[in-house]
Amino acid sequence: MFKQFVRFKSISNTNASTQKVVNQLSALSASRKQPKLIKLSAQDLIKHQTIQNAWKLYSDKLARENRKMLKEQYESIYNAMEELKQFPELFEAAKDDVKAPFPLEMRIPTDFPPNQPWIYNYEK
Amino acid sequence: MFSVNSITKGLQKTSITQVRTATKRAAGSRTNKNDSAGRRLGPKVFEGNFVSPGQIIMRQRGTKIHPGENCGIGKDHTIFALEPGFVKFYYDPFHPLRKYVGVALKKDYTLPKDHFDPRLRRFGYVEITDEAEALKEESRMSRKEYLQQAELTKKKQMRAHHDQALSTTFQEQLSQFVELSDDEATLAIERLVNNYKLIRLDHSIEDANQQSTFNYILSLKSLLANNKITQEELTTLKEKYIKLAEKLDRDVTVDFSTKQLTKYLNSEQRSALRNDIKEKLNGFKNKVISSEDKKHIEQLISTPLAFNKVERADLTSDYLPSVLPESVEETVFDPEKGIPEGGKVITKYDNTLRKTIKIGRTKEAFLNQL
Amino acid sequence: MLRIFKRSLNSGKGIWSNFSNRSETLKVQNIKPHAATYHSPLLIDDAFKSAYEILQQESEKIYQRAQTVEKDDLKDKLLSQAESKNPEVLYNIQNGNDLDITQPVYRNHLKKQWENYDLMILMQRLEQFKVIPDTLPTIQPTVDVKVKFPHITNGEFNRWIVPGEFLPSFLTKQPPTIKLQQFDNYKNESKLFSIVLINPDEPNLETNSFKTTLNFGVSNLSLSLTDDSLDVTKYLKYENGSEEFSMFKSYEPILPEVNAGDYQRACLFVFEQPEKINVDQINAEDFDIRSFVNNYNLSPVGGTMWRQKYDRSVNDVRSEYGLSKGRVFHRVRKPFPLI
Repeated sequence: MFKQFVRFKSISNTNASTQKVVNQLSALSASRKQPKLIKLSAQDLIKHQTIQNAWKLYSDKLARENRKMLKEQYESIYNAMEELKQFPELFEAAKDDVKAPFPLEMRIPTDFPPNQPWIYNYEK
Repeated sequence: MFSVNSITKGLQKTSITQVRTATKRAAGSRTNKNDSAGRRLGPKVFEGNFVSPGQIIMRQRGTKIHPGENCGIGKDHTIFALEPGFVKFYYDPFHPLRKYVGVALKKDYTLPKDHFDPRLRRFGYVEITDEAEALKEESRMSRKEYLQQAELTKKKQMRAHHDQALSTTFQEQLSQFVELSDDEATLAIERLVNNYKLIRLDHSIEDANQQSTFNYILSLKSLLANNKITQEELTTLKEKYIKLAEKLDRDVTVDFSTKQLTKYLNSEQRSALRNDIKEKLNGFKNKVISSEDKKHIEQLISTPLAFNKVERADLTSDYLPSVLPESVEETVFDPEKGIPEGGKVITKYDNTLRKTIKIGRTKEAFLNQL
Repeated sequence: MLRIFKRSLNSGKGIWSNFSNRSETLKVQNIKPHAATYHSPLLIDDAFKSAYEILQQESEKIYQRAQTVEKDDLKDKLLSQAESKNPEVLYNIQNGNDLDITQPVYRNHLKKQWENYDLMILMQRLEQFKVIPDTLPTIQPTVDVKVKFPHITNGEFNRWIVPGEFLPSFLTKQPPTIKLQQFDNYKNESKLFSIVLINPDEPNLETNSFKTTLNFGVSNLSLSLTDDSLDVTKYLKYENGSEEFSMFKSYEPILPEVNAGDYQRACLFVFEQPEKINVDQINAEDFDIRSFVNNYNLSPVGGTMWRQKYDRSVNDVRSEYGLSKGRVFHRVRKPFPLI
């Protein structure tokens, strides 16, 4: 009787029928495993495209507004700094690159207060 | 035993020199002997020399020099001439890192040629002056062409036969539409046969008429070119034909599906006819269709000059479907109450109920079995 | 379903339902109902309605902007843009309906289609067969030139020819129908064109080389977007003397002789004329196309080509044109140098 040499025993927990399906799927290419493309009628295809076009127009508009806002924010910072140039001390102070604007020492919010609520002799 | 001292004393007296005999081969002979003769590489002709086709210009390992204009390259990168001319070595601005060799067809022609200049080309074929030999060369066929001859003649005969059959039917029918003399009738039939062939290929009736007139004018010109008629004759014949064509086109044309002559209708009349037929056809919509009705509908759809091939197919699928729609109530019955004679029960999926249902259809529903 | 697609359209008050200023050809044509077994996706109609409103409002804005614009090309672009999202237009484009070339949106679509396929094929054939630079130095087509031979009763050849293909002589024995599809003629004006058909592969035995022959030459041909072809109707008019154009070389087909090279190239070029020209003193037997273009100040706007070689129908066509029997050459090419 033909006996196949098995180097490692299979250690899968799945049963034989499931394993068979898994094996069959692994032999299929990825594109065949994709869900099928919905077939739309000529009219519905145009409707679908119209909806997509409108959504694109809408999201383009949002993106444009966002870009505009960022631009305006930048310009107002720039103008403020230009004005500050009249007061060199303030300008230097404003120019200082604050490394950590958020206090690193701050606790992470928890459900309960800490064991030691306040550190009296805190030093940076 | 000798003492060391005694030996050294002895050596001082006799002075022996040691000799090594050759007991081992000298090293290095293995590779040195593998030297081959020179391969005689390099250019075989030089700038400006004349070469004939096939003559080797350069032997090389790899492409030290690339084949340029009118040059070919062999499998060992040998460059040879493809045309007779003068060898030129040059650089090509499109490949600045390459050297090229080309063959200029004229001595004072420089390579590379300007990119936008026309190519200088050699014809190279010689005319056969001997008439018999020329005829032989002209009638020479490739094996493929030779084998096709039988089928081609057969097709030609069939076409001629078909044309003949068409002309006889047209000849019989023509007098019903127009009164023509015999000469005119032959021309008219020729014209109608050609019109039929063009209309069959989806030309409009008017286009086909014009094309046939143009064909006749060209045939007259051909006669003039062969000195069979004079210029004056051409003008009179042309005028005569145009008059005949006008007369003919006003009254008669060909129906492409039945191959019969019919009365000519202009485009307005045709669209009126189409609307009329469609109205009549609409009378058969959502009704039980008897076999007489079916014949009548078929006749309506194939009315001469009304619809083209595609429109006819569309109308047939609309008004003579293989199975009548369920909206024709007379053809639907409830299968639970018994099946009438010739009726059929059909299982189908109902979209709104989302399940399969059984519908009975009477035999009148199946138009394809009428 | 059908109703909603057609008229969120009719009942609406937006620009896309208003056909007082817009062409009727922008309306949807030949709308086909769904198959009986087809289900539409859920709620697609509601989404479509609101999408339609959004796009229509945007279109209205673009139309308003187009009114303020002076430049023709920019205006055309905007008018095309305003209709490019219209579902009715999209339906007509995608379902093979006849497109009205005078409408900017359809014209731009056809232009793009031409550039993406036919133009590429044409340029490939012109370059591979060395039509450029053997005839003109180069060419940048802006007009789609299509050629067919309408006299043929054989269904195999009843079509527009593909650039570069081999055509038999019985097909090319009559002058072709030439269709010029312009894309940058924004106002549908009549423009003047010249057309030449040349064969740069006619053997020249004196020099053991080739010469170019002129086989067909037409000038002062006035064409617009809608009246776009030189066809049998116009040839007949010319024959009857009510000429609309001038023919400086009447059509003579290319008739290759036995063994005269692998093939001969029929190169058809279309030139736009700045004004009416009077072509005289043309040497059709040894034609120089470059000097012709220079002399009459023509600008090449399009072209096409096909190839021909000796076939069994050549002799018949020769006798039809009253030409003597063609020469016969040896099958083997001889190594005699150029003279």
